[in-house]
Amino acid sequence: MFGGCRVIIGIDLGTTNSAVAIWRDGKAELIRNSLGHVLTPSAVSVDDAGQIIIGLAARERQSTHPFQTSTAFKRYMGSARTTRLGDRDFLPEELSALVLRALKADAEAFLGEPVTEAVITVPAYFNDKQRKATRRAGELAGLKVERLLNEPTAAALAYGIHTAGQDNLFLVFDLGGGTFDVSILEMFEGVIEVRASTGDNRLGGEDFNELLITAMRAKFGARWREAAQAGDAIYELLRAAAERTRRALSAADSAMMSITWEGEVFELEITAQELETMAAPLLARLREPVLRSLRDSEIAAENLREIVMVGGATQMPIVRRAVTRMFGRFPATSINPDEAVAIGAAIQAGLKARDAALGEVVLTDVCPYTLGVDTVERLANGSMRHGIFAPIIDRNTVIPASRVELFSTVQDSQREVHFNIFQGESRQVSDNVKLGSIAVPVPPKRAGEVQIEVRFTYDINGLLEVDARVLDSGEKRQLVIVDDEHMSREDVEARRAALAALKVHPRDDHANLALLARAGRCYEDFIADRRDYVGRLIAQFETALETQNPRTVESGRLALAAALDELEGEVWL
Amino acid sequence: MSRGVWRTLGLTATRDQTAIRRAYAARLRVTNPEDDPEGFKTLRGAYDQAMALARGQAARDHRGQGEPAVIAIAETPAVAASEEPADPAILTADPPRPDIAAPAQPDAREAALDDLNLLTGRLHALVVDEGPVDTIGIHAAGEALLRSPALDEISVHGRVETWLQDLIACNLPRTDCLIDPSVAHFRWQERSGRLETPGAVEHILLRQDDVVYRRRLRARDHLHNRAFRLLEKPPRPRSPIWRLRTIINERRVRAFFDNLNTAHPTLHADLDPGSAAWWREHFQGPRIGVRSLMAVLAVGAVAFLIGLPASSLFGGGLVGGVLHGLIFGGLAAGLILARFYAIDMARHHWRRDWRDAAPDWIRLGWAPASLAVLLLAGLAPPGTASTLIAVSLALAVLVWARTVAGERPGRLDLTDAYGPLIWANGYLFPFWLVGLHQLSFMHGLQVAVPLIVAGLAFSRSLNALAAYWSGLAVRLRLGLLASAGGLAALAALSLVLAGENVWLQALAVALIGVVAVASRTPAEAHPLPVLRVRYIANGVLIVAVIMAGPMLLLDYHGSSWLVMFGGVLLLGAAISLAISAVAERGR
Repeated sequence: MFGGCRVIIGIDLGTTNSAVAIWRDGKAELIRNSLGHVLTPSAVSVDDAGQIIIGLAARERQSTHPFQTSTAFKRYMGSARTTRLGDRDFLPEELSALVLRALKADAEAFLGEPVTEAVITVPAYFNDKQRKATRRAGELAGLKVERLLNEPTAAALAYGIHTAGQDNLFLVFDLGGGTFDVSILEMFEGVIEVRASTGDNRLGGEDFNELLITAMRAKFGARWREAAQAGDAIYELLRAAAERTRRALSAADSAMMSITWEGEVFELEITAQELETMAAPLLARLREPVLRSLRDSEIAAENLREIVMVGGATQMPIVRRAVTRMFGRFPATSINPDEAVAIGAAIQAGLKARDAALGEVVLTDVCPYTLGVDTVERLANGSMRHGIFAPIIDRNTVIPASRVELFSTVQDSQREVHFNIFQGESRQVSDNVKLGSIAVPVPPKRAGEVQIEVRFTYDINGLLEVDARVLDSGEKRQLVIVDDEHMSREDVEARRAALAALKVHPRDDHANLALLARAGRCYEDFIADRRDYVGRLIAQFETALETQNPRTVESGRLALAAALDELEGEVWL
Repeated sequence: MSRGVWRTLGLTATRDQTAIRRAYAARLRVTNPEDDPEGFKTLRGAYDQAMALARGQAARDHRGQGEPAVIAIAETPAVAASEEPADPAILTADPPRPDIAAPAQPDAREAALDDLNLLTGRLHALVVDEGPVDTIGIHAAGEALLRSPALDEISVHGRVETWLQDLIACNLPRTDCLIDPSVAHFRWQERSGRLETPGAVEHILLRQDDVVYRRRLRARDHLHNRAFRLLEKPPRPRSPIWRLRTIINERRVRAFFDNLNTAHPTLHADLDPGSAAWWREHFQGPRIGVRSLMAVLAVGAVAFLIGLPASSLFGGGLVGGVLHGLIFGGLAAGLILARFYAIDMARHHWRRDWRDAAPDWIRLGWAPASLAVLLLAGLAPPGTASTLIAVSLALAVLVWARTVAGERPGRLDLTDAYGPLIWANGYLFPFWLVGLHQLSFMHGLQVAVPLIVAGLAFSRSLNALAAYWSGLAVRLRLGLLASAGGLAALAALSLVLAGENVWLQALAVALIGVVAVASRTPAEAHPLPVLRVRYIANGVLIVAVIMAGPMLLLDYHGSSWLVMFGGVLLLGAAISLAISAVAERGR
């Protein structure tokens, strides 16, 4: 402990994997979990006794217990969608809270002291609802969420954007499991400024997996006629197999994708070349957000100092090649793309705790989407067009920001003007997201003679305040956009207590659990001789566990792990 | 405003962007967004403005020196119909920054960019070539360009995209064959409808849809197929067959045009320009439609039926019926054509060619002319010749008035319909009926027709006249009002003196008509309260007369009725004129 400064951890809450880090001794340090890994899969599983399993063990259970396991719930943050695991329904934020609780426990074990504050990262593209849900997840896990940090900003911090003395333009290329974010950050005179922040929130490593799944279905689909597209056991098997194959192809020229279904093995050989051909449309989709951020920030690609790669999917050689061709130079990959965001979060946590090792750096952020209202447009031939989006705060405006626009009535003797507030990039409001609405009474006059001033104030936490004022009569109306799933303090407390009551396996058991889950998956995947072999190995290990002798257990665990590594390759994260 | 900018930043006005940034950064440590959002907003606003000023100045400086502006990246220019796309030679490579090693050999990169310049140059040449469209050549050149490896680099990709979208958008329909491959390669479909999508891209996407629609139009059973085929060929206004096709297909063509204008605007480029222009002109001007044809046929048929019985003209029977039908149908056709050419066509040409440059006497001369004809009709001795002259003069004046004016009616008319016309002039009817009762048919016609014409002309075409009236000097207006008053006195005199003299009676009627019609002109220029007073005064008068009327029934005598009605009218006119005079003086 140093000089009584408070301990704040930095957490990267990812779609596929999460990580936690701390700023210590003048540098950021990643904290290993109970299995000794730096990355913890964002997966939650429930065993038959109702106990919660988190992390690698849960992910391994996905293929064997698909209806008791949940992954990739980050995509649903902010929505009210529930997942049923065992006999209980979970909201996405509750699942995230369980993961955060596990990370908190890992940090406390590592530091030897309680941890109560954290900086959590969110994608720059997260809207207000999603950010609030992330905050709530932190609170449900017993963490005071000091700051939500945008992931690209975190990655840029990790690459020392704040230590380089002169002006630096960084482009952060974040291709994660489910989302793709491009941000351009600039560092000057100790200020880190986000110049542009765009992305495609339906593009990620999972989409590359889908390509492989499609290839499998093309070959074997007829045999699986009864199996449905998603939410089915076979789909989970395919997903896991696709992930494994994709990673294998990052290291080798060809790999075998195989699943076992109802006692039959289905195999397909895929070469790296084939994957590149199949992925061509996805790689083309990578260009558009990059172009958009360069256009929005009015920066030429030549002026970028570094291209920072973040996210597991950027380790794919095809992605790296595409990025290299895009910019005409090699991207910066000195920090593990999976770890960069957590390191950046730790740096920010350190800044917040005012650790003397870090200098004063000020971060400014931008609003990643356009905010405005719907209007009516009068065309040349006299007819009116409804549902036209009138932006008030443009995308990539530095926040906090306050902008004002004037509107007028469209019909004579109008008594009230209705403003519907939208967020999005489309010219038609029907394609944008509605945030709320506000109505203000106006004095009855001829069309166009009454003017209403609408002011949007967007604060640094993503809270939008709308003020409408009629210039003639001075009538004012105000609206603060709060999401409708507002929970009171008592609700949050109650939910936190409920979650805390859920039993989790003791730390010591985690390694064994993970190994058993992995062995169980292998048992299901293999057939015939290999399956029998795995069965025998499991039996041996369970015997070792029953002895409760630490050394026996340890050696048994290592033996089983080595045997499984030989059979299917090392475990990956 | 700008002084506040510099004060907030703590600088003197400068164009040095580095200095502005340094000042902003220094201030930012104190007013950071988390602790002081309001202060930060002010600071950021000042910073944005200062940088914009500096950048704008820098751009202007550099433009003078012939170098590209400091902040690079091609901005998408607005699409104008006649704009030339950027010169492809601009797409030369900027030299790579020396401290960043490019993985591709600099030579290979240079070679790829040179190749790209060749490809863009060739495509540009093919597209803007004056000769016939080389669709295959353009398509091949476009495909070659899109396959070029130089496009992998994002900045080159961006610039080529901007250049290509402008090239395609400005040169439609020649560049139709480039649309599909470009939209697929650059994924423009996904950018449709977004705020930042440039107009050129939206236009190209629209054209893509329209090309598909055009293919569908060629199917024989498509709703608009006939109209489309008609419009694809040049017009032949001299050919009667073509003219007939025009009349028959008019509704179809109109529907097709409506469809084009709302849903497929770019298809206008695929129509024959002469044809499109002819039809546009046709729809704007007056035309004889199917309804007129139907009317003539109907009249002919009815006349045929009437001519069948033996007692009619031409002796009846089939021959008589046919002759009947032909004559009356021909008359109807003649009337329609006369109205069309005399009034509608004349009005159309007047509106299009002469209205703006016409002198006042043509625009407004019908007013004094109609009054003069009325006076003359009253003065002239009764006789067939004078009747004919008066009637034809009156009709000519009516045509003049309707051609030249006939715009939106003035305030005194409620809507553009005959109902309110009758309401406004109805009070004159009993007077006319009585007044003209004594006269013979022809003499009555001689006075009545100019009277009706004057009333119609003034009622329907009051707007321009009223505007002119407002433009006159006050003294002139008062003078005109006084002369109207004088005419009223003259009319009263002639009424009293008329006795049984038919000619004087006719003159009296004419004079009263002039006064009654003319007294309405100033009303248009009055403010509403004065108008209300006039209306109320006239209303009171009419009510009083109605109430007192039965008393006078005791002694019915034609001329005494005339005197009574005439007196009432004159009284009303006098009151109106007096009120107007007072209002004018008050101005």
